[in-house]
Amino acid sequence: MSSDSLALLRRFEPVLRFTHGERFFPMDVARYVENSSLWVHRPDTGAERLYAEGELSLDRLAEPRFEPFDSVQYIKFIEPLNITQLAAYQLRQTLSKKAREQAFHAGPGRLARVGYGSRLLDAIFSLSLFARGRVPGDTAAAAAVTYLRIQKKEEHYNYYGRVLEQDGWLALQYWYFYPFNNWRSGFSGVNDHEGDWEMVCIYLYGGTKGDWQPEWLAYASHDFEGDDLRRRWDDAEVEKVGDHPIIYAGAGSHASYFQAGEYLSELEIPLLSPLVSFFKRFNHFWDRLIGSEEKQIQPPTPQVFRIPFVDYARGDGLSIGPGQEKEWNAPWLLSPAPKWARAYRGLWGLWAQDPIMGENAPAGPMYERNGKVRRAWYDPIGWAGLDKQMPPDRTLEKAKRREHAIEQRQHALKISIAEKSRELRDLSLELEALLEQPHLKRLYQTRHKKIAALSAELDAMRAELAADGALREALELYAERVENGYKLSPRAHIHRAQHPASAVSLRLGRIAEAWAAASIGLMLLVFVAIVLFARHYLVLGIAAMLGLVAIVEATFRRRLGLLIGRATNVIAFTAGLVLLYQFFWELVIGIILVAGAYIMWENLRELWS
Amino acid sequence: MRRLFRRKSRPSRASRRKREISRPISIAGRLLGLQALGFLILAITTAPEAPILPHTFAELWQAGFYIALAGLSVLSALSLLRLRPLAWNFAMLLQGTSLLFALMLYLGERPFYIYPQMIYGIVMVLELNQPELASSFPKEIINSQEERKT
Repeated sequence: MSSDSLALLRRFEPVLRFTHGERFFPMDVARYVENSSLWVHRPDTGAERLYAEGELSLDRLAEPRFEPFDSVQYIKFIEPLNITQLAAYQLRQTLSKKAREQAFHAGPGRLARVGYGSRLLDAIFSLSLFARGRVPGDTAAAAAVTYLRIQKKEEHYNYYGRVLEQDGWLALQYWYFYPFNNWRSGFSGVNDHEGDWEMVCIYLYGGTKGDWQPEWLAYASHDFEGDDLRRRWDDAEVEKVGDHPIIYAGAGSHASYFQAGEYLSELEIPLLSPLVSFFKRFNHFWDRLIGSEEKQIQPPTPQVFRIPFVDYARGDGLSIGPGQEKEWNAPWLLSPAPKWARAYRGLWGLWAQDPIMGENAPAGPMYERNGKVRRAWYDPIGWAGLDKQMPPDRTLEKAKRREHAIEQRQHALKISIAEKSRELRDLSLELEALLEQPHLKRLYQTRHKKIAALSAELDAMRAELAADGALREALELYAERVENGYKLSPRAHIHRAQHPASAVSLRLGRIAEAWAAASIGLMLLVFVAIVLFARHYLVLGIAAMLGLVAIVEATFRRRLGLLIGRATNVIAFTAGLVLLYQFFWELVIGIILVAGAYIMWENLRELWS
Repeated sequence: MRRLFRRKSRPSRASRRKREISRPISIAGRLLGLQALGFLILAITTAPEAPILPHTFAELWQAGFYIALAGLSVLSALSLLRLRPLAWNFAMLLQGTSLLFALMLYLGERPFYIYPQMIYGIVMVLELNQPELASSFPKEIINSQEERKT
């Protein structure tokens, strides 16, 4: 089985395309572990080193360890550089032509792509990193140095393969281990952490004939789950080199994407979700009030109460895979699961003590950070929403079997209906005989009730028979279509798909970006200036400042018309509230008078007509 | 100002026939005309009597502002009735300015005429937000300028 598994894994092994500027690539965990130390943090005694760097191996990692509740085991890959080492590293990066060529260029900044509210939240999120636990800033540089040293010794690009048969499907899982995720420090993303496990799954069918064919593939991605992770092999979105699907890995984050591009993902802050829902409801109310078709007219606006991040999956960097710039080394098998994967439930990198988890390293391929087994591991079919999907080679047979089962159910139903009909007619005859016989009133009532119940039962059975008939016809037709090669649309199952962000068109591009980067800080400075030098005009000053900022923003984003419309609507709403407050009783009396006059007019008109 | 209201290109007779003024646009245009008359009356009401003294500068400024609003209302009505691309934005801007001014006066001396001004402004905003009317004009000034360029 293992040689077959290996052959299948190699036949469909994906091509990984990275963004220019990516520093970390899939590697062999044994080498990572050899260059790391193992630690345990106990709630009472704090952190203790179990194995120093150079002493740790996969076997030692898998050793059973008994620790108190709430203790955390973690690997530490990197000791941050000291200031001299960091300066030397930065100097090398600046002077080296190769390093300059490999540097990442962001293009239109993420802040310029989103609105003011999101930028304010982003500033708060950045400040929160000082309070939350986080991976030190120079760790990424140290990790890059160590990773280069390991690669220099022996260049290798590895993945871990797992083959699992479930419900007629054969799942080929490709697990990639990266020594470091530098999304935050390298690409202005959400987080940095040591160790990064990513997974791609290809689903095959046709095991009965022994010729496995690919049908679906699913990539683990931010904010998506179930059906939305999955694409059909013949979907135009899935790019391939022969039988090898192409994956575009996010720069630093290593999230997988089907297409090259820059993906805008938004981080929602749980604390602000009541505000989000309030604004959603208010917008809905306003649209209904004015019967507006705004939703069709205007482009969708970014969410104000979410923090924007761009995941760059441009695919213009290193490409690893069959026939590419770099080829995969022979894969390691995870089926059966090796001892290190089963026994070690700790983190595969630094535990940064971040309460919202983003900066803590992930656990291994089998486990979540809390030690539970990952769904992608124990149920790879259900993880991608494939548990409700029949393998294509079984669809026809299953449809015919289902049709036959329904036919049998219909036959049984017909017999029951005939029996019940006979019974109903007999009861009805008895009822007619009981009429006009006062002493048999009680019996008449009982029979009457029984007839009503039987009649309802018969009605339900006939309805079921009719529905079964329609279902059988549909199944028959479907089987016929499947036999002729029919397939549902490859995108029929997708509820929410991720698309690369379209090119940002900002007026006066560079100025707009500079404005986006500086505006929040500038606004805070102006606020302080108003407080210090013009406190009497605090409200007016803040209103004027916000108004000015809104106009500048709207001009850059080509939304001045939208701003005018919305601002006027808000002012009109406020004026309405003022009128309501000022003339509440007059309005009530006026409404009652009008209603009274209308009712009187309607009644009199009816009388005269 | 003329540039602001310049037509993007001269439409053919057929397309002009197609873009006939709908009833809500015609009503909104007339209401704007009526609003211009209202602003003129407000200007006359609030204007100080000669000679102008330093303490009546505020009243003079107010009357001047109402005269400007009246002029802009006439322009807005004409641009709306001639289906100029920026007419909707301009009409909304006018209503926003008028209502904001009324609200500022409400926070200060609260003269009686701000209430009819507010009611009229709200009616106009509701009228301008009518889908049939709003969808007849592009919402984005920039987009419409780009349209003009092409």
